[in-house]
Amino acid sequence: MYAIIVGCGTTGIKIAEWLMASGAEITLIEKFTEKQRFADNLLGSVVVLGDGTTIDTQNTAGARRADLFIATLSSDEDNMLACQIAKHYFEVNRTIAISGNPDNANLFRLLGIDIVVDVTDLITEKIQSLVAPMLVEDL
Amino acid sequence: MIQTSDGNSNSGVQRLKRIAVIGCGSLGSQIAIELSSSGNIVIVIDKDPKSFLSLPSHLLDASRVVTAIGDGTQEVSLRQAGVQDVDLLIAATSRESVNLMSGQLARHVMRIPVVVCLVKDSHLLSIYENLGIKTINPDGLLMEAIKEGLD
Repeated sequence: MYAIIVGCGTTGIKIAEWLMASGAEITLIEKFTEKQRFADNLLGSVVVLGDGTTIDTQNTAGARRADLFIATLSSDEDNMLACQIAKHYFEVNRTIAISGNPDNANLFRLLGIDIVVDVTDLITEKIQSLVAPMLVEDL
Repeated sequence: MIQTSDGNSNSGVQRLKRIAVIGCGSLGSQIAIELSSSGNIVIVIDKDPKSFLSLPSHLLDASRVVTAIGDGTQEVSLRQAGVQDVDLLIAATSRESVNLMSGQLARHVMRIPVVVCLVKDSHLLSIYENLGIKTINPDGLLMEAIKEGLD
């Protein structure tokens, strides 16, 4: 399996490490030189320097043969654009977008992004599950 | 009053077009000024209230241009600004991912009849034309103008 991950933040790097350990072939895309160098040294020359929301950079990363595309940028709009290019131009089978705003999840699904991972929802659920027992004790 | 070809006056008064413009930068404000001066009602949405300072006061005073502070990529902001019943939405911020998200939200969720997005990367045009969005590409327009100039 070949996966492309946009963004070398903590999330992007963690996903890349896990996918590599699982035996997948991966390429990361990062816009900032310092982050690109850092991740490239850490993971071993798998990071393309460029803007993941452009056809040009996705092409360099080999999007044409990718099975999986994951956008982990901090901006929801950028993740949407990156996934739509992967989906509609390079015909990547599965696209995953990280979203920071629960209001965007439905729109992203409607626009053909296969999986939307909503960070706010995840954190809220986690906090609720941790805090709920405390509330019961207080009663 | 619009005259029909056989000389009878058109029974209905021509309805003003309602237009939403996302982004009040140099392009957005210019679009708002042009379209409101030609008789349309324009709603301009921008995150930064300071951006509205570029709009002439006579248009604002006459409510030809209505401003709304908000995020054009969020349905709540668009609804608060009254965008749900516009005839046309133009997304003209400096970021094309914002334009395309705002445009697709307006077209596919809010069912705005015509949506135009400013898209700088010419490679993206066919993708989004196929997805029901009309696009304006500054480089393409510039090239056309240059070619015309050479003819």
